[in-house]
Amino acid sequence: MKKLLVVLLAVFVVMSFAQLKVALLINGTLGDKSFFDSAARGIKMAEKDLGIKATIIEMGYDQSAWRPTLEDIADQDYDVIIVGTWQMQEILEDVAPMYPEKKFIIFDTTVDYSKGDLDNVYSILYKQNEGSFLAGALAAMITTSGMEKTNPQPIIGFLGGMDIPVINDFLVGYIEGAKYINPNIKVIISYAGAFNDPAKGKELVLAQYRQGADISFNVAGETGIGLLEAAKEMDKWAIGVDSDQALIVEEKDPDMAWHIVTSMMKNVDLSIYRALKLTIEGKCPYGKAEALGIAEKGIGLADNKYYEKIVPKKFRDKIKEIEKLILEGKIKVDTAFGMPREKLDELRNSVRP
Amino acid sequence: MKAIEMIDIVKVYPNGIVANKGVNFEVEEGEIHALVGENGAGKTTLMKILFGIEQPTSGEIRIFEKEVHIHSPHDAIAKGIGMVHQHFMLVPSFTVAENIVLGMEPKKGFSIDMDEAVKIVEEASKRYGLEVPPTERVLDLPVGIKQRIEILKALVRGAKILILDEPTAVLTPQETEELFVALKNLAKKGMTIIFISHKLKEVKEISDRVTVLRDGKTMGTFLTKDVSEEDISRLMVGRDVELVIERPEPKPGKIVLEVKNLNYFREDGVQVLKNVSFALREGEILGVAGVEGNGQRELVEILTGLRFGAIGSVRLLGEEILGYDAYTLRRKKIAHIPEDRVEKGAALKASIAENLISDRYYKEPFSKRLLLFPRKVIEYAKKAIKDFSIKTDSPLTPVGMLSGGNMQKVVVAREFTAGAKLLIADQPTRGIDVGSTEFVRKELIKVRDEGVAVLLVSADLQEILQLSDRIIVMYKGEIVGYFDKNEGLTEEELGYYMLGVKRHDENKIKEAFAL
Amino acid sequence: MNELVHGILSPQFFYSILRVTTPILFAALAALLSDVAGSTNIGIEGMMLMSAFWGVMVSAWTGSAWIGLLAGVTSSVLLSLALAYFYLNLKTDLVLAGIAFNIFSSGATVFLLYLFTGDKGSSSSLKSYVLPKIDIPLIKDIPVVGDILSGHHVLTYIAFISVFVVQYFIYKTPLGLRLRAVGENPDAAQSVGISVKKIRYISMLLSGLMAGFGGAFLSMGYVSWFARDMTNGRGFIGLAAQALGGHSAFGSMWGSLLFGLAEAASYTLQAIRIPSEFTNMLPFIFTIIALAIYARSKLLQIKKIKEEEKKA
Repeated sequence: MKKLLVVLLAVFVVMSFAQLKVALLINGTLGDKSFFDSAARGIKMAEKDLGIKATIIEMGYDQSAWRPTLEDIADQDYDVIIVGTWQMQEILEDVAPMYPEKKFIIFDTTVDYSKGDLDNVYSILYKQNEGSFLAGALAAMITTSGMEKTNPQPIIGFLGGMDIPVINDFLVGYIEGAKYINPNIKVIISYAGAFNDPAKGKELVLAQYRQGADISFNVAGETGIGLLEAAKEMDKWAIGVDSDQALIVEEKDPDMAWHIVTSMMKNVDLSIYRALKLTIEGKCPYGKAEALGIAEKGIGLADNKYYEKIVPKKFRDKIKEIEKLILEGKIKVDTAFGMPREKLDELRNSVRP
Repeated sequence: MKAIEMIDIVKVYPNGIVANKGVNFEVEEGEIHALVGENGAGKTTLMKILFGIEQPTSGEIRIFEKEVHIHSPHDAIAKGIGMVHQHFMLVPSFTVAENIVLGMEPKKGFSIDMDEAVKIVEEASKRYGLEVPPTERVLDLPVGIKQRIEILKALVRGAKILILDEPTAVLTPQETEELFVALKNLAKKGMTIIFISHKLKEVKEISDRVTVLRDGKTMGTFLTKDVSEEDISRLMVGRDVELVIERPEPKPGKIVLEVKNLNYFREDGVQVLKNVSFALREGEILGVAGVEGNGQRELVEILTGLRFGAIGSVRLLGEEILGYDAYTLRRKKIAHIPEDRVEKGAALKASIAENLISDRYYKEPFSKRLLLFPRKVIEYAKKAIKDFSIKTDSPLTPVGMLSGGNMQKVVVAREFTAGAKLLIADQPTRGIDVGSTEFVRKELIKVRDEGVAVLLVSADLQEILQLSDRIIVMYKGEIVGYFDKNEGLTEEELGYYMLGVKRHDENKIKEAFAL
Repeated sequence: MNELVHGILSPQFFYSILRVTTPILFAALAALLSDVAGSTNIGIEGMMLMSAFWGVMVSAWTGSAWIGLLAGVTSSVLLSLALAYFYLNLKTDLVLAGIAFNIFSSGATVFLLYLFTGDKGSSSSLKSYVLPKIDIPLIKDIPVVGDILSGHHVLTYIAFISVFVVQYFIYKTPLGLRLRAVGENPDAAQSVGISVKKIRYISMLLSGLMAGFGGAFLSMGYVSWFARDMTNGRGFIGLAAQALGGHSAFGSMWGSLLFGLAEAASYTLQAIRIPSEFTNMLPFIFTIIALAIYARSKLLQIKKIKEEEKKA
């Protein structure tokens, strides 16, 4: 009897893996030109290449509906359920243990595994420090390149939302990347103290540009809109973040898009595709969080028409070369997580103008 | 011609209180007509109806022999009725002219035509013989002038009938005299004046006729010259009232309170107390006279721990107590009847019983450790209600439901039974009826004779003269007059000091401290 | 040090003070207009936010920045009238209602943004329009002064012109007189037949108008998008600026400029690596210093008396 059950179960498992049923729950709506659209793209790719059967559910912005929707979906016969962003973290921590037979993937954040019973959850993080390393290297090359909108001073800018580890993780990579290109690089670092104050973001970056910076990196959420405005107003360069910000603004303001050389993107699409692929292969490390970097194509610079038109080929090649070096482990990028304050300050002071 | 006829006016408030039970009130054009009655007799309600603030439940109003309905003060003003309220309705930071033209500003383009406004004021001021400085700020003006501004405000709006609600309560005798001259002058010009007052002496002096209200009913209208003060008060109260209170010779004991070089700056930086020094012994009443706003309020609040930041020295039985809070001072046997019973003296929503023990609820027999004994509290309250003849049906009645006089009696009952060494009584009889006033004044003499030191602050000069053994007069934060006994002292004489016209020399004022 | 001097003494720095001050100044004037009538508008923050939102939406729909401005200001005024209704007719507590309106605006704008654009962070996908900048002839050609005073956003000029208009309105016109009378002693106003309620409605409406301009400036001039909660406390800073300046439009202006100066300085200082923890404190340190100076004069007076007393 017991044997029979095992066999049946084995058959069932094999059958179910034959065509993986996947649900992507979006805590918002599609059309954000950012994470959600990217996640949907990843699902489409997996549908095409991996032969999964997928459903995308837009849960809207009413937070009270998210949890019941997640439970409803888990009650159905999906094998893998994908959610994203920190807003879903707690909900998933509550719901996942109730469905131990289901698999869950969460991107751009991690559940707290110390809470236990989360062996069926795989968390995808992105090594923003590695991506920022590329952004820093690119900025350092552009600032002294003699390109239009630049001055000869080796000064670049950084706009952070707040002085907190996740933002400083971008900063550490950015500084190290810039110093890799030019050891004498100076970085003007500004923190807005808020993620929703574009006016303040604009003022801070205008001040950076006045101090001689000619390119600045936006790591400040909605505050960062101000950076893009400032770049357009002072006719300087900007580097976007998270998703391809040039594509986001080009429709609204083409002129502004032409000031965004590239964006440091989190490749949600590729990371989801990869996770599903590993799941089918039985190699996906559920019960763990994984930080994806350049090696896993989890992050990278946006390779769009603006990048190609604005950035000279030799710089783009150099970026590719750096990517390779990181991939091969020849360049190791530090992270701000767990970095002692003194060391962070030392790093920041080393590039002080 | 009859200026006003109010016929069978009945007013029932939504809470069921019947304020006017068929009042009849008639005023001839060009006369000064006094309206008197105890608090709660219905005077205020009647005047509110006449001025359109309240609507009568039933009854008829005729103005200049035409039946009218007055829906709002605006309406009343349009019909030629003006009211001078007891509390001035002036904007302190505005100039006299701005206050007078407010709501009917002359214009030049978009701006107010200030020159025209000043002209309006000057003309009216000349025509009615009420002199005011048009361009000065009201804030800095004496009370008497403020009152003139109020009267002018009504007159420039075309008032033919003027209602004056206790106009002399805040005035010095000299200012009162000037007011009376002005009012007689206005009456001569055909103005009709209704004069509401508690002060029967003034009623006798100024009015042509007097109407007495009691308990929401008209007790009658008389030619003033035909009735005596005693007659009027008997009609008001319904029994004989002692208008003069007997005050036996004081037997002062040792010094209780010593105030030396007290200085105080208000929050806005104005110095409201300047080197105030005086002493007070047990078994005597020290009266503090002065026009309101000359530092008396701050003095009382500092002495009772309600105001901090004063410089100088205050000693109670030799101990320095300046800067102590109210709780500590009460434990050191200072009792305080505050100027404003509604704001400070009583908790309106709490019951009579609760108010009576609010300074001693933590002591036996009312409580022990954490427990309060409601039965003991009510027993005690019943006794106090009887001793102080508070008119109520239950000790559990919220104080807010009582009339002004009875509310004050609750406060007085608490403070008189606190076992105090020093009693600070701030305007103890303001706004309460003749009967209650008589009672409170007698009690003050009684505690004095029991050896309590009493500091009596009052704007009522009659009260100061009747009760005080010694008197200090305050003017602009300073003691400007000191009288070690008050025989032969008149209200007029005190008035000169209160207005800053007369002033004692340094040595005389120092006697207030050096006993 | 060199960079500090370079940063602070540049014309661009003074130019940025005026720009940073603009929304604060509008908020301060909004606070002033409500405060003189005795009903302080705590909901300025929310009204600015509403205006910022509708300005962007309507300008995107109509293709006209001016119609957008009109819509933004109208939304703010409607909100202010609603607040007045709650306070004056429904007798709710003004402060609580004001706070409730702020929270409501914060939520409602995000909700509506999502409803109209599917976005909830910012109006990034919307092609909205901004109000123009204006060069002042003659002045723009003067070196330094021209760099500081010319080329500002049209609403920046309106803000500073409003200071004079508001001052004139409050102190020279009949309506202004009534506003002040109601604020200082409503009974006095009532006693001469002025409707306190009507005057407070008017004051709230004018306050909403100013708040509306301030909000529109943020999303239609400062930047060209709406972002969730983008006012970020400027309404409250305006209230503080007004409190510093008392019942004078010029006082409000100086108060606003003080905050503007502190804020602009904090941006520039941060760019030269003064820690952000410190620079973000600057505007508030300025406030405390201003209050301390005020209190000090009073203390000196008391000290003088004490000394005189010792001599005596």
